[in-house]
Amino acid sequence: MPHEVIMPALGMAQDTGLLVAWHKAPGDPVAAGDVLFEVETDKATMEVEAQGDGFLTDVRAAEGDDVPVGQVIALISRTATPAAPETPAETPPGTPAETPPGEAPPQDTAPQEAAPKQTAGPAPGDRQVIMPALGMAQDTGLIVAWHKAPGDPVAAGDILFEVETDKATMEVPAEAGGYIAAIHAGAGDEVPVGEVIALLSAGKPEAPPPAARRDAARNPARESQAAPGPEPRAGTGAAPGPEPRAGARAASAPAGAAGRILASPKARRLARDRGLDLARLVEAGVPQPFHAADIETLAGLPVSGPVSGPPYRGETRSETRADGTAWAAAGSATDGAVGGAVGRAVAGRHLTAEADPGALAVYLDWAAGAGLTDPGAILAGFAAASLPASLPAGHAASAQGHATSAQDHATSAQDHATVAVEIHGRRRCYRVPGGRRLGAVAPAETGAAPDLLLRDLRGSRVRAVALGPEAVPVLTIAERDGRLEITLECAGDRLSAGDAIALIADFSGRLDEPLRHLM
Amino acid sequence: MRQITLAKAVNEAIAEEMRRDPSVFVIGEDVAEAGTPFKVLSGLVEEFGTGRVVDTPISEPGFMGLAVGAAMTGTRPVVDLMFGDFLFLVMDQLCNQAAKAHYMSGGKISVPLVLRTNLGATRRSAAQHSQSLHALVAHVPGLKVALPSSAYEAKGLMKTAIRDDNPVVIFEDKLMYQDKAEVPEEEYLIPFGVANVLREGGDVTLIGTSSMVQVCLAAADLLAADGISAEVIDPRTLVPLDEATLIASARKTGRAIVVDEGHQSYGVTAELAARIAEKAFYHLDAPVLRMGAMDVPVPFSPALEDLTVPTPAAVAEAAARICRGELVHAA
Repeated sequence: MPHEVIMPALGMAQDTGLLVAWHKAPGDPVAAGDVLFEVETDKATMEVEAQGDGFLTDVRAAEGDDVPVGQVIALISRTATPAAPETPAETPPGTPAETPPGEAPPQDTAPQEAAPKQTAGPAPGDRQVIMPALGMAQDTGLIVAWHKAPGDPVAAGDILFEVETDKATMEVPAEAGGYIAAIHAGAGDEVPVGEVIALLSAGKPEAPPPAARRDAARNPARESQAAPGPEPRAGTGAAPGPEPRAGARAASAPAGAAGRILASPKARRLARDRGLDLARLVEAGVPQPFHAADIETLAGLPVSGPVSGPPYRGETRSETRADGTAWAAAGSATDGAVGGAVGRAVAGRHLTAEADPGALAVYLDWAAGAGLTDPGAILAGFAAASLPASLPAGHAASAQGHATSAQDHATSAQDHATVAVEIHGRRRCYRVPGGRRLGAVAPAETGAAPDLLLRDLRGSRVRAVALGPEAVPVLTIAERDGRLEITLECAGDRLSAGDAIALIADFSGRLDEPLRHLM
Repeated sequence: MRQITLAKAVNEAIAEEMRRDPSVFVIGEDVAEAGTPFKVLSGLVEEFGTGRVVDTPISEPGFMGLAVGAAMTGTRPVVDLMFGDFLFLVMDQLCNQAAKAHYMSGGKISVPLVLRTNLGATRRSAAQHSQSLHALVAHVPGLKVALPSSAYEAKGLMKTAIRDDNPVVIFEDKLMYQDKAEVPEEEYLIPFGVANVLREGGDVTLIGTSSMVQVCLAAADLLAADGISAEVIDPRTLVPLDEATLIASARKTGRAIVVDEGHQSYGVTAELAARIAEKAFYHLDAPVLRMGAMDVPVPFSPALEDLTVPTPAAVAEAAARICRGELVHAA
């Protein structure tokens, strides 16, 4: 399609421009940015550049002419051939260029001459009506109204449609007579300059144009296009209501259908550091957004997934219930209406502490030199020495199949304790006699029921754990940021809060300063 | 300890520096004969004479240009710009010349100049005499920007500014000139780039500048009554900025509100909040909130004007909401 060259407005109060000189002759090839002509205003002489590539054609103003601003003075066409040879200089500015696509001049063999995609199926002899350029900086034009409908007869000069630019609304007349064969853009459409918006046929169309096209012509296309948007949304019944008032606490359900959990960056970081899954807070019905304080709640939630499922292995559960302890009560609350993970959260204790790894490493080296070559035994000794006197002795041993051990434990934890140590998944049990002599710590049979389980995750990638209470209190040692992170987890009935704190504080203190153990 | 007004503190700072260094002089409109703007400089012309306390015609670009040239040639001018709003008149002298001369001359030229001006609304001075435009100059590399929040701060920062070999813009709150604070008799300077933690707290960090420091302190009192412990920090200087203190506090409390009397959009609150959001992100338990002046020309109507500036009650309410974990600005 040709690009119209108009007299530009170079000043605010400029009405006309004096064309001083052409830098291109008709038929010359032109590239965007080439100087086309010079124009003189009351203030200065300026060079005007081409806005597109092509050939300069249809020159309608000569050097020395004083041309009104906005008037078309030439075209930049795809070929060197004049685009509208039958309508030379008297073409009014803004008239849409109509080109006969089926009647391409013989020398016009450029491949880019292919008809625009909007003109699917124009009959030979149809004329294209394009969106005219009504201003220099205009990229698109808004079709305000069609004055003709498909099938209507048209005489040259009849108003075809009205177009609105950023500056004004103008009526666009037909260049030639015929019939409206098709309308490709309806009222309300914003169409790029040069795009084909209608076809004119020489003869009356045999079949009436498709109804859709007629609708598009009669009704604002903006409406018909917008319709598919809101309607299905309203149909789903899931239209989002007004945004929640600022300050309103979000509903307990996960906010947002997208399923993204709302949580503060700090809460996310804490959860990640401790290996906790925020989704469990959602399941537990804790309202979003989650904050740092909610992570403590999360840490207290048992690991088990669905609320309906048993919180722990049945064996453990029945065992603790048989003890008639507080845990049993908490466990039964799971089945009640109060239920849910929150109800169970009370059952578990989760404590963390940290210690400096340096002293322990030095101590283990020293101990190895002194003949204590099993670090597991040393850690077991530390852990047993940290056990509070009130820990119910031999509880863990009451499980079936460990009757012998149970008898052993029937005495007192003060006399000796059994500590299971898991290092890299390998479990060894130690019998730690009363007193603190590490040399007296002896391996016990692997199946022995421990009073305490110690998981040593140093050297692994695990930084923190929240595995939930197990049958016996579990101490975990992990490395994090160059520090040792010690975690104690146990059922609420196993250790009182005070004993739990004492246990982890004592044990961490021994790791931090192993020499304390000797004192 | 004695208490003096902010105006007196500024006066003392300039007088002490003029006695100490003969290259220091004051220049501006009405600084000598007409009672001096906001009566801050009264007595200076009597002590130092009209040769060092220089009245100028009403031409801010003119005397600002003179001062920049004087600074380039070895003196230390203290330029009095009667209203911060007049910064728009001295933009080229300040931002293109003073701010860049050291850089453009490869370090051969220094501009040891102090531009004294003010900020603050609610003085019923209307839209052209009520603006707080410190963000405007803080945006330009080469200028230091100080925002004293009390008489004590005003004196210590002014003396540091006069001794600085770079152009410094000091904004005094024009409503605080008659506010008194404890100011020691003996000499002291307040270094640039060291924030002042006025009140320690653990729940939320309130960062206030200039006039808003008092607002934040009052808000912290209101919050304390609700059991919320607020930390209040005054950055003192925007350039250089003690970013570390702000970020450490935000990491500690997990929540921060930045309060400043400049317009909120594209302002100081935006810059400080962005730095905290970038560098304390994983420690934040709530969005960082900005509270600046409303994005409108400052109204002349007292009833309307008072609505455009953050108040202690508004700051406290915002702080309480984020401390309660309410959704703030969440889509």
